[in-house]
Parts: sequence; C-alpha cells; structure tokens
Amino acid sequence: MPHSPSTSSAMCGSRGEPQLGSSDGECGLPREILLVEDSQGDIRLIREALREIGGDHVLHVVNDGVEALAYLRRKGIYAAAPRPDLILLDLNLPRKNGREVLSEIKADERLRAIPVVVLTISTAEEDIMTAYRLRANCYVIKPVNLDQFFRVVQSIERYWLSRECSPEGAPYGA
Amino acid sequence: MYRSTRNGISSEAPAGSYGSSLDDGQNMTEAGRDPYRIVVESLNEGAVITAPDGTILFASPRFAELAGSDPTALIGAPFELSVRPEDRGLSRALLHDGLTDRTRCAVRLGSEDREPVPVCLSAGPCAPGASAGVSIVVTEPSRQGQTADLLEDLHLVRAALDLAADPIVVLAPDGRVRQANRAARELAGRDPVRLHLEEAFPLDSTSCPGPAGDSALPRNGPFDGLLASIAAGEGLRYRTSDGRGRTLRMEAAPVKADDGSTGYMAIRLIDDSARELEEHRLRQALEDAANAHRDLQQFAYAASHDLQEPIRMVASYLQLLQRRYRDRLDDDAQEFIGFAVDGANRMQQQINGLLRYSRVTSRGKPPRRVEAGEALAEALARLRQRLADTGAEITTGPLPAVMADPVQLAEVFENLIDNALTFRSESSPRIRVEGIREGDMVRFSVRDNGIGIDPEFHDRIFQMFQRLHAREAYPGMGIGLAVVQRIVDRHGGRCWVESAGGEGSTFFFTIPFAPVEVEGS
Repeated sequence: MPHSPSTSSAMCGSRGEPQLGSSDGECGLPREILLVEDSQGDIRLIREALREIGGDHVLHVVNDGVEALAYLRRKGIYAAAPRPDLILLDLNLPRKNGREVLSEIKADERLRAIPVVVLTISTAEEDIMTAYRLRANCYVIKPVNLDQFFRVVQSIERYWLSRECSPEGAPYGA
Repeated sequence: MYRSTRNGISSEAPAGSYGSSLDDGQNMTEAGRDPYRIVVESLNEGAVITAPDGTILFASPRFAELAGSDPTALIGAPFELSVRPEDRGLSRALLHDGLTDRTRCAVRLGSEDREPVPVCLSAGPCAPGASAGVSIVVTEPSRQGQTADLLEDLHLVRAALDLAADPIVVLAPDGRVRQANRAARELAGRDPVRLHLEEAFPLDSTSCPGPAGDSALPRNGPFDGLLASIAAGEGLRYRTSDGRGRTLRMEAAPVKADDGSTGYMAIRLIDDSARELEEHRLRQALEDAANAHRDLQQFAYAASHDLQEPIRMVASYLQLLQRRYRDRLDDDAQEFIGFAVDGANRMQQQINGLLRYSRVTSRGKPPRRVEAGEALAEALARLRQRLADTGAEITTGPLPAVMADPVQLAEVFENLIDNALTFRSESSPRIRVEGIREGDMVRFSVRDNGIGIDPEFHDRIFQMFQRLHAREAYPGMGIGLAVVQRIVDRHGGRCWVESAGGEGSTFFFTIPFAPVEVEGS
C-alpha cells in the first residue's frame, strides 16, 4: 500500500515554477493560503494546525469549486482578494469538483504558477494519477492520526511557504 | 371361400370377402379344403394376407401361434397390432413397401404381457398394383440358426440404441426415416419411421443455416445439406418449428447397405435447447456478476471516501481534545479518549483492509510470466524496516518463474513473511522461502520458526478478520491471509498451512508454472 493514509505520505512534484515568480509573499509579508474545502471539520483542523505551527499566515476559505475560481479570478465579492501563495485543494467538492478546479487553474496563465497541494482522503490511484496529470504540485492524503495530520500541514507550510528568501530556497523569490 | 391364385388375390375381390370365406373354410371338411390353404397351414412359417390399409384378411394358425393370438381374433384387425409397439413403425414401413416390392424386416411379435417373439417378415404384393393386398411370410428365426443369431444381434443393437440419450435415426436413400431409437421417437412425439426427416422433425426454414451458415436448407429436406456438411466434416444446426423452439444439431455419417452402396445415412440429432438455455443462464449469471462487481467497485470508492471522512473527524477531534486539554482531564477521561481513538483507528484499518481485499479482483492484472525471485525481492524491500527491527534471517531455495500478476505475487510473499514476523517465537525469526514445481503448478512454501498454529484453526486463519490472539499480544487486523487466499484463488491455485503448534508454521500456496520463454518472443 504505497499510499496508506496511516503513513501520512506527501508526494510532491516540482516545487512551483520560480521563473514565473510573483511579487506576492515577499519576506516579511504574511503568507496567503487559499483553502478550498467543504468539510468544516477539516477547515478547523487545518486552522488549528497552522496556529500550532505559528508564523504569519492568512487562511482564506472557500467551500466549493465555483467559489474557488471566483476567488482566484477576483469575481464579485472577491474583487479585492489577495493572490494566494498556496492553494490547498480538496478533490470532492460541491458544484465543481477539485479535478475541474485544478485543470482550470493550470490552464489559466495568470494562475498556473500558484502551487496547488491536493489535500484529500482519496487513496484511489486513479485520483492520484489524475491529480498529477492535471499538474498538481503535490498530493497529500489526509492522515487519520492527528499528530500525523499536524506534521503534514507543517511540512507543507515549510516546503511551500518557506521563509528563506535565498534565490534557491524561495519558491517565489523576487 | 378363400380363392388364392398363383398370382395372389384377385384385385377385384372385395376385401370383406376374405374374412367370410375363411369362416366358411373352418367349417369345411378336410377333404373339401383349398389345397393352397392346406399347404400354407402345414408350413412352419406363418402366413398373413393384409388389405392395402394393413387390415388382416387372412392369418395362418402358425402366425396366430407366434403372435400369441387366436386366428379368428386377428381377422379384420390391423396387422401392426400383432407387432410390439416399438417395432410398429417398421411393420408399417414393411406393409407400405410390400404393396409394390418384396421387402423384409425383423420385428418382435406379441402383446406387451408376454415374451416378445422375434421374427423375420418377408412381404410382397399379392398382385401387381398397389391396390392389391400384401402377403407376408413370417419366419421364426429360432428354427433357422444363423438368421436367428443375426436377428438376435439386431434386437440387441436396437435395444442398445434405445439406451442412447441422443435421438438417432437412419435415413433411407429416399430421405425417409428407416430406423429410429427411443429418444428419436420421443423427440418426434411419434414413430418417425417412414416419415421424411423434415416431417418428423419440422424445420424452421427461417433459421436453419447450412454448414457454412450461409443458406437455408434445400426445400426437399436436409438430406443434401447433410451430405454437404458431412463432406465439410461438420454437423448441421437448425431449429425445429414445433412451437417449442428447440434447437437441434445434426451429425451424420453414411452407412453402407448390404450391397455396399452408401445411400443410407445415420444421423444423431442433438437437442441443443437445454444447452442453449444453460448458455443463456450462464450469460445472465455473468451479467449479474458484472453488476455485482460494479456495485462492489462503487462500494469500495464510497468506503475510501465517504466512510473514512467521519471516522477521521471522530479520531482527530478526540485527539485534539486530548492534546489541548491534557492538563484539565483526569486519568479516566484520558483513558476513555484513548479507547475511542483506538476504536476509530481500528475501524479505519478495517475499511482499508476491506478495500485491499476488494482490490484483489478489481485491480488485479492478467497473469504474465514472473520470476518468483523478483516478486520476493520486492516483498522483502517493502518489509526492510520490519526485517531489520526483528533481526530476521531469510533464506531462499529454488524460485521458478510462474504465471502471475507480479504485484499480487509480491503481496502474497509480503503478507506471509509479515505474518511470520508477527507470530515469531522467543528466538529471532528464521524464514525460508522456496518453490517446487509440481506438474503444471509451482508449490511455494514460506516456513518459519514462530509460535505455530494449532491444527484446529488451520482453516479459520484464512477468513476475513479472523484472529487467534488478543490484539494486545499480536497486532493485526486479520486481513493479510484473507488477501493471500483471494490472490491465490484468483490465480487458480490453493493455499494451506501446515503446523504442529509450537514448532513453527509452513504456509503453502500454488501458482501456475510458467514454461520457459521461447527465445525472441
């Protein structure tokens, strides 16, 4: 079982696309995270995990795929929404599922540079393969164990939102 | 008065007159009797004269004796009533042919309640023209040595044919049925002798492809088609049109006649209806199985998403509670949370186990040639940490190539070795893996020096969620061996365990042997 949830696996692909770097998330500014998730339990767990890690995060939450794309494209009430440094995307979402959201993000030139971490319960290989084919930057299976869950969120934060601003270390170095 | 001439009965004579003249004859004095009649009645052979419709006009006392009847009772009765029911078709054919030609056949005489009397009938026209009657000479073969043996043989062969489950008929060169066994009579619903094949077993002309499946049978019956199909070495399939929609398959072979000609044809009619029904049922069952399989797939997907989500919530928030409020919870509260978290974790593992189990078939790949050693190496790589932790020593014997899904073969090794590591004894685990070819299969064995298994439980351990030990003593969900069993089943092999308890266990499983690959293929 290569993708057993009990062994909290975070299978990460390429670490963003630095050459397309944005000016967002420079040193000293809070990191903007967009969480696309409909489970209130999971939203709260991620919020708690980030709180334990500490650091300067702003967590924006939308509950379905349509809202996620509206946020990213700054439509309607999201006209002033900040561009996220990281998207945490659940696969099973109401209205528009995570796969569709992922494929639209990666097809949009202005959005495709934002790293997307697929955060899901699905251990189904076809879901994992689909996510990577749609160029998810990372596929994380939500662990049952809370300690493992917190560690996963922590490692995502360290990996994708590193505070180091060296050209090598920063995914969005200026 | 019975006025027989050398040419037989005069065709002008009214049929009824024979009967009355015979009555007269019985009242006559010896001296006044017809000399022909005296000759006929003194012969060892029986003699019968019938009208064209088969009604007996004259029967000699010898015939009456053979038929077990009274001569006077026979007059006016159909000749075939003297013949055993199963041979009546033959006697009808004889009387029909006897109107125009001299013809012979062997039948059994007598009513159902007495021993049948095998006789040879020789029939011919009483006078030229089919409207004259038929004269029949009845020879009792027991007085004729060789003929008797032949007739006996004939009856034995017929009796044997009657035992055959498939209907068998012999067609004469004119396309009419000459012989039919019991199954053929039952299939036709009557005695098919003398009938054309397509009369006896009506063809559905819309669905009777010839041997090549191209054309309907010729209008004059299947005989030509049969000849062609025999030449092509094939049978002929067609449907009957008796409203029951039976499908008959015909297999035919030429039969040599006495004179060496091959105008006769033996035909086996195989009623395929039952088989087609069975095939239909099989198709239905396969469809049902496919539906069930799809349902299981959907269940598996639901289980992997929808069921796990709430369990995860229960476990996570209990743990969060424990984490945040550790200082404010007393020992009991800590313990309760511990049990609750443990329960949620186990449920999670059980769902994953069920998923693993269901994926054996849903994710299984078709078997291909696999080096068993490579599958074992894969399994050992995955168990590297456990092997290191337990200080296990693995030795291997021969490991031949087999026909298997490589991923699943590795999973079998992994589960069996993992099992051996779990149920280790005090001493450090020593495990030997090897495969011995036995005919078409390779019998693999995984032998350990662990705690062993009481023979009482040897069957149970392969069942889902069956555990023999407290979870605290030996961890595990009781899934590994069930998965092993399912994988081995899927490969057409079997698995079992041998263990005397306390002396280690040896798990065996068989997988089809893979013949050596042809070079370049």
